[in-house]
Amino acid sequence: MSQIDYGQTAEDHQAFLILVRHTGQHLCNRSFNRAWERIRKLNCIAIPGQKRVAWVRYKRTYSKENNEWGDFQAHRKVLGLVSIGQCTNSDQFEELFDNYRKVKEEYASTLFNSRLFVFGMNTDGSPLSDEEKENCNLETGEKSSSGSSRSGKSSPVHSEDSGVTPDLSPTEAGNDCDLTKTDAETDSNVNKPTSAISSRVEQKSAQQQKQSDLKPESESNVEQNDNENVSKSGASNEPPTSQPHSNSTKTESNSSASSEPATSRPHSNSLTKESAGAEVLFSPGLQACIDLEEKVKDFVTSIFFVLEGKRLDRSFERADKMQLLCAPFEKKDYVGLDTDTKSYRKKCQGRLRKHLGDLCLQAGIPGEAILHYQTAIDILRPVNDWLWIGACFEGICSASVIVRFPKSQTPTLRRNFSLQATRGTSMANDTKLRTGSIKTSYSNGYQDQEESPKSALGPDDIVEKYREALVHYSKFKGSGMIEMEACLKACRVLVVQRKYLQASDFLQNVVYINLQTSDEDKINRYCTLSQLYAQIGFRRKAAFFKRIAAMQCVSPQNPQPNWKLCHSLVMQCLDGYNICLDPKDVPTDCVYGWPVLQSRVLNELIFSARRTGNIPVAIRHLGMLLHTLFDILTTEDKRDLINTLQTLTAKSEGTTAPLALDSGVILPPIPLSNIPQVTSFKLIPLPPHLQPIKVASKVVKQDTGPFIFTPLSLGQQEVQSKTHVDFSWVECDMCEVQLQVCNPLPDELSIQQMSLMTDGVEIEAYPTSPTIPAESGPSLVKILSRPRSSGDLCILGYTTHLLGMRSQCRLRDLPELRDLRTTVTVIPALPQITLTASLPKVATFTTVGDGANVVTSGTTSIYAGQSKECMITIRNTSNQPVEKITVSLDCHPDQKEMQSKVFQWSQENLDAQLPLQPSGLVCFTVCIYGYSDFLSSKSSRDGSQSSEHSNPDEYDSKCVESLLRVEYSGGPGLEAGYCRHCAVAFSVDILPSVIFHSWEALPSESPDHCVLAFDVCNVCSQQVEMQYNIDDSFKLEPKQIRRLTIQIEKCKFPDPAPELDVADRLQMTKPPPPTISHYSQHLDGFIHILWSMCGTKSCGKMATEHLTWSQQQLELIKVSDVSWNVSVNDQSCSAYSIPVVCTGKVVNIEILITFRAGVSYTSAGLAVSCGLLTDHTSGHSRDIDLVTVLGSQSYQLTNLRHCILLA
Amino acid sequence: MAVCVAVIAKENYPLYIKTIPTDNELKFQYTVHTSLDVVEEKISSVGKNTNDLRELYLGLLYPTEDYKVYGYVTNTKVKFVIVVESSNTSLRDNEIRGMFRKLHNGYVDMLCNPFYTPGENITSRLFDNTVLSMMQQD
Amino acid sequence: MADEVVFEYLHMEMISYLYRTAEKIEQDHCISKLESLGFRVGQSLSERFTKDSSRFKDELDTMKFICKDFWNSVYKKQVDNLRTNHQGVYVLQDNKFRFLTQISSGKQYMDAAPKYLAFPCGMIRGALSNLGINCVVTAEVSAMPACKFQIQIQRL
Repeated sequence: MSQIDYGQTAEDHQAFLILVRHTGQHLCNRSFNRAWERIRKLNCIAIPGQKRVAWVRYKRTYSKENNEWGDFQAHRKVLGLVSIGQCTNSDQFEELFDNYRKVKEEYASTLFNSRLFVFGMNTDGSPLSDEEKENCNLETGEKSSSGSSRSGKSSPVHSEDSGVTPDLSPTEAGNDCDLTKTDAETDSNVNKPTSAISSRVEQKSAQQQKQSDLKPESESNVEQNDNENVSKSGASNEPPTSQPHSNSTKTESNSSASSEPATSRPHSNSLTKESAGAEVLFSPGLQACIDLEEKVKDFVTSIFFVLEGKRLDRSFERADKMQLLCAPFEKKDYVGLDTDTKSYRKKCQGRLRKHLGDLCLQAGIPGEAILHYQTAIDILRPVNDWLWIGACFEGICSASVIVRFPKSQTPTLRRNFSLQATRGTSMANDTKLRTGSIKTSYSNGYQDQEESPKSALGPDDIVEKYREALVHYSKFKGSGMIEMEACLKACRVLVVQRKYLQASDFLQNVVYINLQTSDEDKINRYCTLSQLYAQIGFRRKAAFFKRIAAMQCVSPQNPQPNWKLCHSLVMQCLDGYNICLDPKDVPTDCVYGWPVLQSRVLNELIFSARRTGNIPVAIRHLGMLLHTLFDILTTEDKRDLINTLQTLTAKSEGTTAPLALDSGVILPPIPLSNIPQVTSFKLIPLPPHLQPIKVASKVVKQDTGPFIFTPLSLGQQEVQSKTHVDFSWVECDMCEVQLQVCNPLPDELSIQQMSLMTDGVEIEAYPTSPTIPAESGPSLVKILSRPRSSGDLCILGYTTHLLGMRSQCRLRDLPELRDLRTTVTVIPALPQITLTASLPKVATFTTVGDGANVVTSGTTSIYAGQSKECMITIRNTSNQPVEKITVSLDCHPDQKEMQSKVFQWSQENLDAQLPLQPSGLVCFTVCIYGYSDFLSSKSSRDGSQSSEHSNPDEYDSKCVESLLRVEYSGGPGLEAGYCRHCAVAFSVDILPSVIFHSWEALPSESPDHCVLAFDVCNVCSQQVEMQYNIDDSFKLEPKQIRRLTIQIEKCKFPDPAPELDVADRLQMTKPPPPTISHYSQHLDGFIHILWSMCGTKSCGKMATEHLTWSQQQLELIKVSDVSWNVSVNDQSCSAYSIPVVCTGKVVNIEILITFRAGVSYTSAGLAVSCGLLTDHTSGHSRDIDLVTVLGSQSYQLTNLRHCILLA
Repeated sequence: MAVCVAVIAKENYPLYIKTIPTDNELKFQYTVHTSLDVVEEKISSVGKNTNDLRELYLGLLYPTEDYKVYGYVTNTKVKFVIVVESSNTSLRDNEIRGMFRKLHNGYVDMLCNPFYTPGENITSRLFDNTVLSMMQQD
Repeated sequence: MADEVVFEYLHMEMISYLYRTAEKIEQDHCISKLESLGFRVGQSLSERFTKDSSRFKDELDTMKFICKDFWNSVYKKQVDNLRTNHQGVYVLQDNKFRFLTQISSGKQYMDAAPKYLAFPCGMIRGALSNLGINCVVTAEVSAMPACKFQIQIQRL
């Protein structure tokens, strides 16, 4: 079966085909590949003494069937054979040579020359045996003789060259190579193709040249005979011998080509010394063999001259005894055909002329080739030899391309071309027409012919002729290979011309050509098509064929499906379907590509990856499919894919690391960001009672520095605020992020794990594993974490672990969540406390002020005047000591005064118990007092006039609600200037107990005492016992009013608000409302009225501070401004001790009047009246008139002083 | 008549694709998708030759074994692709032109529908009927 | 004759309706609302008007279409002057722009001009966008019935 060469170009028509073979088992693949690399670089060799160059095409394998097409198109002939082998001794060399000989035999019909490169030996023979040295010496000796053949012009010399063959034969014989000789002699009597070294071929051609007059039958007939001979004899001999070859070629083709540093071409003037005649070349090693290139050049040159000889020979073709050149499939048609017809002769003539054109092309004279081709067409057209006409057209095209686009391609360039596949870049620059003509002088009649571009076709004509050629080719069943290759060649020509549409027509044609070939060949074909489509910019088509090639790898008919190749081929077609490997490259705003096909291709990728056993890659592809095409998938598809995913992940968990394929392609991780879909992502501040609060202190002042206002720092804050949230988290405290997630899947989705991706601050993650019902709307997921240190914590995204797949979803990749603020400041650790109050908790609490940070509450109801205690326990639940606790009352400023009376505690007591170590306890007591004014809501405050009997229902209980705020801090957080606030909410119902119904002040018997009378009313529902004056008491039934009197000493009231100094008074623009006059307040200290309830065993004190006293009443209570002491006869007298004086005696009455300091009177009058009291007991009665007053009875005091009046 | 009709957006993604019911509808998707290469090539080569007839109708894009693929591009770079069977010889260039004309009219009417957002997949029933009429006249 | 003014009246009513229903604060959005209305109309119109024309060769070809066919279809006249700096800026000058002819000439109602030009601007932008040219369209009025539309092509 002939192999199709998918890489062939039009320029290849001018190249020599040289087979480079790996021979023997001793040469390792690597060395061979190195040698191969060195040789294949020599694709263009200048022929010394000629202005022409020889183009060479090297092949490592070339099937015999392909070689048989050599008559049809000369460039398909293997002209040279280079075998490369290694040996260390003569036995191995024998083996090597044997191998070499067999290969040579195979291609003997076409070979012009051959070489065997042997490594591991000295250049002049084997280091082991002298024989081999001699062998080499002989070879070198031989060179001189074959050197003459190189010149190739003097044909008569070649006849003598036949004598050279025996020169070689003895060496072979000496190496026990008798077999070869005998074989050669027996197999082919005429030409001995087994030992057909160049010289012999040359000899042969020389003979023909010489005998052409005698034998007009031409050489090709002979060649054909040779072919037949070989195939006949080979039928028995070859199969066993060729077996090792086929093995070795297999390994060759599998081995990867290793590159060799480019070696500079040695100068070629050595040709004169060392001719190409030497068939076996020894060298110690590849490295040592510096002249490898040189030798190959010599070899090529030798081939060139053989070819040149043939070309010149054929140009004098005679019409008689012509041989018919045939394409392989034609042969059987011409068996037994009458060869003596005119048409047959025409065919022979035309085909030979065409062949001559081929030779001219190879010999580097395309202009001449075109003429030959045209003549051939003219000859062949009348006889309807379509196939060959087609070949002529193709030849013309090739020649024209070579002329029009000279040197447009070299193999090295061609290799790289697939890399720089951007269309129309490199080649178009070479499309300059070669305007200059090359003058060449040949020894034949064609000399001095100008290679004019006129004979060459124009670019459009080339395409036209290619089309014509294809039309002709397509008429034959057996010419499929030729047709296909021609299509590809035409396409490549058009790529250079940038005629992409026409190129695509040719490529389309390739698909139509029906060739039954192996799967491997089909894969090759599709890959070539894909590559060419890519070159013409048809990326979709390219992708299509890549995919077809991939499918071919695993076609159901294929006994050995190659899933790995399939996968790597599908990977190559992704670009054409706009499938990106990196989810970041997928545009989110619009549809990108062809969703149906994308889904298909991705499914194929998944499947092939699965079949190759590369589960992680399959998972990755599946992730891509879910990521990009989720919206177009049907419910059934989704379900299937999820099931597939689960079965895959059961074997190997989906990771978040990039995967590298063998081809070097990196598969970046694909987050499953749409399963589940996160619609909102919110950082949650700490609960209010745990929120850190910056203590506005000296720290702030330090920040401001010497400037009162710096715009710079303001700018910084703004920048920060774009990414920062406006609250802080605290180190070691549980922090929360809330996500709203949707499940787009038709089944319940259970997320095995969901946690945060953070940066900046180390956190301790507490992943959650929520389950979201099928296709349900947003449901809340909370993710907790605990920062381990302080600083700026940046939340990058979240990680999920679901369906056996781990994904990292970065917020910046999610369009809806891209602009969120996700940086939060974490402040140093603060302690955390719990508060418990000993009172029962409040069921409902209407908050006053900021009630959010309330952690506990207490409620109680007390009667007005009653006191209760509430124990508040502070427990430190954190690892940080509490170093500071400040308790304050958080209430409305209007109520502050009142509440501070209700709730009282000792801050000092608390401070004494600090610091509070972790898990320690601190208790403090809050004293709750049933503060009340003890007044009826209706009674006026001065209440002296008793109001009407009031309804006790009016005495409503009063509810006092208050927050006891505990501000605490400690540990590093305190140093950083943060604290926390929490609060206890109190709700105290103050029930009315007893109220003052009315009150008055009465004078007492004693001038320095007074009597206060209170009408108290029991407004509660129980019996109340009132206690006063230490031991006085009475019981009061509900709603009963009774009077109680208390005698108190008249008191000196302190000055109102004496503690206020001038400055304070100035500040107080308005004096405080005199709800509680300081009189009442003062007085309260002297009045002790207690009540107690038997039923509830509670007791309390009635405060009188809210009672207002009228001026008159106050006069009674107050110690009067003036005090006097009357002494009679030096005896002080008082109301209780009346001095006894005798009648008629002068009674000296001394009155001491004392004015209280601060009381200023401008004037005062003093009148003394004396009365006599008769002793009632003695019955005496005296008239008052009997008293004579000495001195003035009244005294006007103008200047008030403490003075003593004497009378 | 037509076996597949497709409307392709400016950005080269399918807006609408209708095929005759066969067991291999996916094949048409591939056919239409790859035909875009030719369409793009034809559009981009327009600027080069000024004397080009710059028709909206792009003619035969490429023949496949069983089908012929025709292309049409509006000035707004919306592409229409019609696939007909190669065996159907009654359809000549003029008939194909007529079909594209009809398709274009239908598309314009559909686009002017206020309930259609440009760039969305085409779900209009009227347009659907237009296309169906082109596919069923057999 | 009557059909020619229908569009004009509709346009005027559209503007007054938008401004009437808009809250005080929203009035700034009216311009952009009008512009986006115009965009959608332009998209549809360009699809319809180019139905029978041959494929445009280049950008300038497209601009000529706007100046001639498009303008003619919408405003019953052609653009009076088209200029370009060949660097992506085109200036279309209409000496008697249809939507401004009903407003008295001079500078008296100059500040009312923007709302009567937002819709046309959007229409140009929509038409061009659908024809594959992304641009920003602004209008400029120096004397009342005359108007200049500046098209700034956005190249990627």
